Amino acid sequence: MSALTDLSIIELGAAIKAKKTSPVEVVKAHYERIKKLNDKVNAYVLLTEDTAMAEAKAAEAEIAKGNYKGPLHGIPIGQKDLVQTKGVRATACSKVLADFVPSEDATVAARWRAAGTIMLGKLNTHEFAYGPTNDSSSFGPARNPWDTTCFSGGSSGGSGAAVALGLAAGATGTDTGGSIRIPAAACGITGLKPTYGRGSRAGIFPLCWTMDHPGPMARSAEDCALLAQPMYGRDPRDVATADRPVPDYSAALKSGVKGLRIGVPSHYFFTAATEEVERAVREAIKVLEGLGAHVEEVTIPDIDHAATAALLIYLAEGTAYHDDWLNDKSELFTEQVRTFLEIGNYVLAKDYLHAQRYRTHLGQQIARLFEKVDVLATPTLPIPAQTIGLQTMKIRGKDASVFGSLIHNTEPFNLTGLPVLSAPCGFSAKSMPISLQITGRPFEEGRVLAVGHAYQGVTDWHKKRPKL
Amino acid sequence: MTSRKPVDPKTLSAVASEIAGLRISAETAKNHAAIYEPILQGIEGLRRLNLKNVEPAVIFHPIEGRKEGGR
Repeated sequence: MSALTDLSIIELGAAIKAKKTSPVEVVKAHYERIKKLNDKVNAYVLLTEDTAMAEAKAAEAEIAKGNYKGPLHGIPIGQKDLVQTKGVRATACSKVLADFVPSEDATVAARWRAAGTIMLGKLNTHEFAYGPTNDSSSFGPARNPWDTTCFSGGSSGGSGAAVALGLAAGATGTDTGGSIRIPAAACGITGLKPTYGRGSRAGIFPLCWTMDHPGPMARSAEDCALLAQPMYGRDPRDVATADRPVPDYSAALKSGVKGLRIGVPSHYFFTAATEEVERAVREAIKVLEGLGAHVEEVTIPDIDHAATAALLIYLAEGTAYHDDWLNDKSELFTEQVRTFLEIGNYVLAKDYLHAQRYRTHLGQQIARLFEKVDVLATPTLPIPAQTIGLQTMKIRGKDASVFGSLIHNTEPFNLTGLPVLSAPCGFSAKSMPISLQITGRPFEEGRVLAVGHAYQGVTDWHKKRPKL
Repeated sequence: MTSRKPVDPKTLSAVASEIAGLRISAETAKNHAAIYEPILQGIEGLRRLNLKNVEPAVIFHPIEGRKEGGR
């Protein structure tokens, strides 16, 4: 057997079920690796080793007695520090909440716990998830395991770095403008942002109530399917959750892409990307075509306003949530997040609502495309991960904001609330990961997972691991 | 459609202190103006879109609460 920290969730689950290994061995192996490598990437901001070892022993005893809960029983995971877990400090990586200890689990954490996962610790995030780099955190930046001088992407940067480096088999992410997909792409792993309303936000510190989505991050679409299964479904604690059955995502993986109609937007997503990102993603689309998918060019007429609309919503909702702390504890925020929160004071109510009307409008335009195609394929990020602190760079000879570029391709799907999978599809000249973004119709998480799984069945980008 | 002048630090400082109740220094106001002016330019583009008959993506749900006894 490969090192336990190299195995996928599906492999670990099978080995635990067959008693070829035990949850105790698996959890121990992960802590050994965390102790060796976490300082290099700053993925974990808190370890819960005593509790995890006790839970691993309990899982081992349950399995020995024949009480096997399923493929996540005994699987070691990390929780983004935005996700509250009972009795464990949750700071959102902000000094504002330095000593906050939640009294109950977030719904997604409770559901993973019930499925048998074992939490190894809390993972770094951009402060209150308000940024795409994870370089503004009260614990310092999460670093990219492919090059530790580069950012991990954010906001779920600790999750991206930990999963890529084998410090957890899977992790939670939350995605308001791309915060699952950005670090997944930057670190070379797979991430699923679900449909808005598919996953409960209860017990997760909000950034924007109308755009926050929780989702799994893992090393393959297949592992994301396993993690998504117990995570989703109606939650009385979150009024936004949809009262719709959750399909069997692992079964959906088998549907493949033969006959699938893939729409490739003719502007916006590729034109903002570097040439090498465009090449890698177009090559990935050709692979899907080779598997029997039909590809056609599509246009989303008014997508160019997406960045402004998303920004207005972050500014208005983010500042509304943080207003009291901004008055009482503003010095405790990192400079970048404080500045964003202050700027939110200037947004007019009519412009916020105009942005919310634009969301409906953009959703209608994309819904019309989904009458003739089944999914959209684009680059997840227009650029690979860059050096921590870099503000601007050249893209196709023009100056571009790194911050703006990171969220450019992801935030249209927070505005529209559509399900999206990010999956690795290549590397840059500097050996940094590049990823493909697959977007589906509302509540078709199974379909985007199936596209990722089909792609990963004939490529091995998702199997490449950073060497530190 | 309204026409507007580029935002200046004095205006932002007044909005912050007199409307939002937030005290900011002159230097911060200058920094905010530099950040907010390009955002306002984007907002002007959004305002020009024809969204007259489009509802905002914000829906109110009446809160039902729990019933104990009665009908």
